Formats: sequence, C-alpha cells, structure tokens
Amino acid sequence: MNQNDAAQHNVKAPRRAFWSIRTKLAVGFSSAAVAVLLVVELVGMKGIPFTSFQGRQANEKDEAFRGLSLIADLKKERLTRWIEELNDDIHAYAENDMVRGNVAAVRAAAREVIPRNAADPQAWAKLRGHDSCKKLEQFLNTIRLTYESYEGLHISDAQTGMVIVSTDLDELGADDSKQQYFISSLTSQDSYMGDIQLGRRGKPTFYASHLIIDDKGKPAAVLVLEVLADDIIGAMLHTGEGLGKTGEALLVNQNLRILTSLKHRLGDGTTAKPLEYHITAKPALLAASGEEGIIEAKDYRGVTVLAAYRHIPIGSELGWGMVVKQDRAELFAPIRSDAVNAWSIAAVAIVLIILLSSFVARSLTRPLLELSSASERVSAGDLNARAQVATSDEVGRLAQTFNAMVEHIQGWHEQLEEQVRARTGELQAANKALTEEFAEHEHAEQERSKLIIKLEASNAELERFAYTVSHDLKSPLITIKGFLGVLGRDLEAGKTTRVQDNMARIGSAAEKMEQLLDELLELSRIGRLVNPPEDVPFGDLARGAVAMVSGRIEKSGATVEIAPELPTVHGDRPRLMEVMQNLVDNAAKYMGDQPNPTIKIGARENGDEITFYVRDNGVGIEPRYQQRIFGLFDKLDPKSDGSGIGLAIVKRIVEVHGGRIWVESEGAGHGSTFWLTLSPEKKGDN
Amino acid sequence: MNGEPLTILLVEDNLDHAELIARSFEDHRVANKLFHVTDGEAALDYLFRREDYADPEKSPTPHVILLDLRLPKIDGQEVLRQIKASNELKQVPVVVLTTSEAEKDVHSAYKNGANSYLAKPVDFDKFTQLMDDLGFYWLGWNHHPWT
Repeated sequence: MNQNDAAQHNVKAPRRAFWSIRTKLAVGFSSAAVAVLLVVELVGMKGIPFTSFQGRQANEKDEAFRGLSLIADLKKERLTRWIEELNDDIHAYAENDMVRGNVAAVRAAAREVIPRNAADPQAWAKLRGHDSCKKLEQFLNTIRLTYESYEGLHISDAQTGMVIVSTDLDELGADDSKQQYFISSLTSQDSYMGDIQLGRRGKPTFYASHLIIDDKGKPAAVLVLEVLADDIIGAMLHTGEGLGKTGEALLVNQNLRILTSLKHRLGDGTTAKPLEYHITAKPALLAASGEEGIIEAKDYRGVTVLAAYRHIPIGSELGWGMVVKQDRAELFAPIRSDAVNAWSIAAVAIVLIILLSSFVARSLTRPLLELSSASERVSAGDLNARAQVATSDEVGRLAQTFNAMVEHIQGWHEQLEEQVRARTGELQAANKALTEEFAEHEHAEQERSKLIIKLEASNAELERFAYTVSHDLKSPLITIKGFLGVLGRDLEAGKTTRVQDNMARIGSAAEKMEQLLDELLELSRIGRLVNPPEDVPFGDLARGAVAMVSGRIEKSGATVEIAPELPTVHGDRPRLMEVMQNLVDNAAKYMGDQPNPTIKIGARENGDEITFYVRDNGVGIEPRYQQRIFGLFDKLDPKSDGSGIGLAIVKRIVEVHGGRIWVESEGAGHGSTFWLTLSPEKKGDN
Repeated sequence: MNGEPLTILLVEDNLDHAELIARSFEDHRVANKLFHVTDGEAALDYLFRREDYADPEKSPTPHVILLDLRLPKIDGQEVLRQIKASNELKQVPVVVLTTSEAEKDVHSAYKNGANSYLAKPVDFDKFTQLMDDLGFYWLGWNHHPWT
C-alpha cells in the first residue's frame, strides 16, 4: 500500500455504521425475546389455534358457564321442588276430611245466609259465626302463618264460584267463576298450578288450586292458594351467592312476559313491569321455548352476558323459562386485570431484556470493535497499530493472529521501503544523466533548426533578389534598346524631331541602371555587419541623420523635433545612421501641401524593448500599401525619384540588428509614423 | 478592321516602355484608342469606373487589356484577380506584358485567369514585331464578346 492509498483511507473516517454488529445483536436478541414473550402471553390468553389448549380466556369462560349452569340448576331444583311441595300440600289440604266436611257445612249455611250477589257484611258475619266456617278459617290461617310464603288462601263454592271462606275477609263474596284456576280445577282431580297473573291486589300472583269434593264425590268447592311472585318466587330466584354485582336470574312465561321484577333498568332507562314487559333477549327466548343450555348473548339491556337458561315445567301444560346470567365484563374482569399485570410484567421484562442484550452485545463486540479500529489504523498506513484484545475466546485468537500478521507486514514494508529508496536513488541518478543528455541534444537540435531557418531565409531572399534584379535591370535595358531602335528608324527616315527626346530617355535609363547596380551592391553588403557593434546614443543618430538631409528638410520647410533624452542602443553605427537618414529623408520628401510640416523623433519603452519612432504630418500611406512599401524596388508613386530600394535597405538593416520595423498611418493626408525596435545598450552581438 | 474604334487599356508604370508600345501601335495603325494608366489602382478605377474614371465616356470598356505585373500601389496579379472575379469584366481578354520571364509569374498569371502571357523582348526588332503581332491577333483576328 502506497502513501496515496493510505491518505484516501484516512479520508473515509471510520464512523461506526448504524447497523453495527452490536446494534444487530442487541436488536436481534431483544426482538427474539420480546417475540417469545408476546407469543407466551397471547397463547396463555387466547390458546393455541387448532389444539385443545384454548387459553385462559376460554377457560375463564368455561368456568363462568359452569358456574352459571350450576346456579341455574340449583335454582331450578329449588323452584321445582317448591312447586312440587305446593302441589302436594294443596292436594293434602283439599283431601283433608275435616276440610271436606266443613266445606259441605259452610256451603249449606251459605246457601241459607248469603243471598245471591249480596254484599251484606252482616250476612257474612253471620256465616263466619258458623262453627264449621270458623274451623275452616282457622285452618286456612294456620296454614298461611305456618308457611309464610302464602299470601292468602280461600275456598270458593264450586257451584256459584263465590268465595265463601278466606284468610282475607275483604275477599269474601268475590266471584271466582271466571278465573282459570277455578275453571281448570273443576274438571281436574289434580292440583292446578296456574301461570303467574295479576292478582286482586294488583301484584303478580301465583295461583295454585285444588278441587274439594263432597261425600258423593261431586265438586263442592275449590281451594285456592295465592303466592306473590316477586316476594316469594323472586326471592327464591335471587337468593344465593355467585352472581356478582351484575348477575341475576329471571323468569319468563311462555308468552315471554317477565314474571318477576328485573334487577336492572332497561336500555332506555325505564323499569320493566312484570307481566307487561315483553322480553326479546335470546336467552329468555330459548328458555321460554322449553330449551336448556348456555349462551353468550345480549340481554334485555343490550349488554353482552353469559347466561344459562332452563325450562321449569309447571303442572302438565305450563312452563316457565328461567335465565341465570351475568355480564361478561364482570366475569372477565379478573382476566383483564390478570392481563394488565401480565403485560406490565412483560414490559418490565422487555426493558430488562433490551438492557441485558445491549450489555451482552457490547461485551461481545468490544473486542471486535477494537480489532476493527486497529485494522483501520493499519489500513490507513499506521503499521505500529495493534489490536488490544485480551479475551481468550475466538476474537482474542483472531486479534493475536491479526497482530502477528501486521508484524509480518511491517517487516516486509520496511524491507520494501529500503529497496524502494535504493531504487529511487538509482533511478534519480539515471534520470539526471538522461535529462542532461536530452538537454544537450535539444540544444544541438535548436541550433540546427535555427541555422536551417536562417539558411532558408537567406535562400528565399537570394531568390527574391535574383528575380527582382533580373526584372528591374531588364527594364531599363528594354528602354535603351527600344529607343535606340526608334532613334535608328527615325534617322533612317530623316526624322530629327524626336532625336533629343529619344537620346534623353536612353541616357536616363542608363543612369537608372547605374543607380540600381550601386544600390544592389549596397544591399548585398548589408547582410553582414561590416563595423563592430557598439553602444550608440540614439540622440546622436537622430541629430546626425537630420544634419545629413538638411538640404531636403530646408526645401520642404519642415520643423524637426528630437526628444531631449533618448536611450542608447547597441549596433553598427554607420548602418543605423543610414536607417535614420532614410526615414528622415522620406518624411521630408512626402510632405505634400502640409502648411506646417513637422517631423518628430522619439522613443517609447515597453519592457525590455525600446521602440523608436519617426513621425511626420505629411501625405501618409493608406493601410493597404503599408506592407508593400518595404519591398525591394516597390514604389507607391512611379514618378517619384529614387529606385524604391530605400525602405528595403532600412528594413534589412533593422532585421540584421534583430529588430522590427513597421509603419502606422491613418491613410492619405494623415501623416505616417515609422516604428522600429532596437536592442538596448550592451546587449551582446547576434 | 471595319472602322469601329478598337480600344486598348495599357497598364504600365514604366513611362518609357509605354511610349515604346504606343509608338509601335501608332506606326502600324493598330489601335484606334490607347488608354494608359501607370499603377494597379488606377487600372481598377478605370475598369470599375471609380474616382477620376466615373464618366463612361472617359473609360470605355477595352477590347483588350495589356497588363504589366510589377505595378505601384496594387500589384498586377491582384489587378488580374479582380478583373476575373468581376462578372462584367472577366470576358475582357487580359494579355500580361511584362519584363519578367520567371516561371512563378507565368503560373500565377494563368492561374489568375490571364488570356495570354508575353515577355517584353529586349531586342528592338523583336519588340516591334511582338507589338505588331499582338495588335493583329487581338484586334484583328480575335473575336470579341461585344462589338
């Protein structure tokens, strides 16, 4: 691993990932433990599906049903027995000889004393004074007092239906002939047990009756027994423990009327009246239809209850339905509080589990983290890092192995680094040698290409020179030969008018040729510097040039201004003088009609380069001609004197000195400025 | 030679040469009209009727142009390029008449659309003979795109 990689590893800071082993362990253990806990809790509560284990809730329900059934059976038993006893009792009373004898006597007395439909109290008093009546009355009262459950007893005449003996004196003379118990008893030898109905006193009353026969076995009278339903039967239903606060037992007849008062108010807040309220709750319905069993259903309030329902047969035809029920909420209250307890314990257990598993995870992962951080340090380049793990388990062994491995790596690394250092030294030396070689080579190459460029330039110039010379020297030759021919012809023809003109043309052409040859010689000399280079104050050059062309300047009437302080340049003095002479001469020559002709000579420094200028306000040069003016024998004005070689010479001299020359002019009539760059003083020869 | 005025535009900076050419044509009565300009700029002004030559009377389109190559201001090759680039002027025959016999000049002249390339002979007889032939060929035998 090299240094760069190490640096990159360092950048990725070893921030612990969220899902570290520790978190995973802690979360995993906790989740598993919580899940197990939840399953156990739920199974305990709800049972295991598809198995016989049905859970505490179902057990509790079974228990509740069992309790209710037990209570219902007990109550049924008690009621049934009570009815049976009543049945037996009334039978016994009616068959009693004393009763039968006295009834016959009372009937006879009544027929005498009591007029039909008479409500004469005296008549009744008279009857009661009768010995047999007294006995009967006493008998009935004795029974009533003995069995507190009887509200009243009376005997009605079988023929008239009139009450002739009663424990309640107000009842005497009342008409029983329309009563069901009366009618039923007349035709039956057995006791009659009637449905509960509204009694004479406006209370739900249970009637039991039995026929009393006379000596001849004919119906003589009916013995009637009244029991107040709420006081006796209701009390019987409600006695006994085991129904909690909400539990109750209720009775309904076959028409689903309630027979005893209800414990609770109805859903709408009213109190149900016995014999009037028509119950529709399912348990009552089932009980009334003669069925027995248990059920979880809504009761008359709409509250869900667990109920046991029983059928209680009364006599041979009638039957009541009994419902023993208790609110489910109350029944399950113990389970709910159990559940609350269980869940609280579970919550505490979960917290403990999480803490415990965190602790275990931490103690398990601490050595791993230490190992991981050590490996990170190593991977970041710190080969001195070791894992500080003291445990003797698998992680401890792993740490030892890791440390040993790092030890090895460190050894190799140091060895490698040593080798790299040695190699690097060798390479650097080789590289240095190579670089030097390259530099030499490159220098030679540069020299070579410089030389080639120089040679090529010189070649091209030679070509251009040869071409120019052949063209420009040929031109006057054509003129000379041409006009000589013309002259000859004219003379032959005897024409002498143009002789002078022809001769003049020939002469000037010859002069032109001579001038051209001189200038070409001059130009050819410029290529090599003939005088040793020296430091020349540019001011000297400017003043010298102005002095040399003073004739032309005077003729043009131009004023010359030379900048007071001009730098010193390095070069061939006579040649540089020639340059300035040419430029000043040109400036004076092309002044045109300028009324205030002025020539300015100055310099401007740009970094290590000095730029000199010769500026005039004469005719100027249009931009399109500004390149051509420096060409050999190029002239803008064919009629102007001079061969057109002057600026070519100037350019050549400046270039030989390593400088540049160019012209700036805004066009005809705006004057021109010639710029040239020269090397500053004491800058060696090139 | 049906008596119509035939026009030559001579572009020549050397006044002596121009004089020689003019005299040759005069002697042989070749041209009716010879217009002479001394630099490339003046030649283009004449042909495109600008500046001093704006009046068509003063600058009739020539039947042939005699063009020197080394000219002040605008070079002869450039003048040739501009003539041949112009839709109106490219049909005018341009005869290059110069002192140069350099191959380079000949090639670029033809490349620029010259119709003929003639080097001025140094020998006077040959010079007059050339002018003679030139006149006959271009103004006599040659058909012009217009009358």
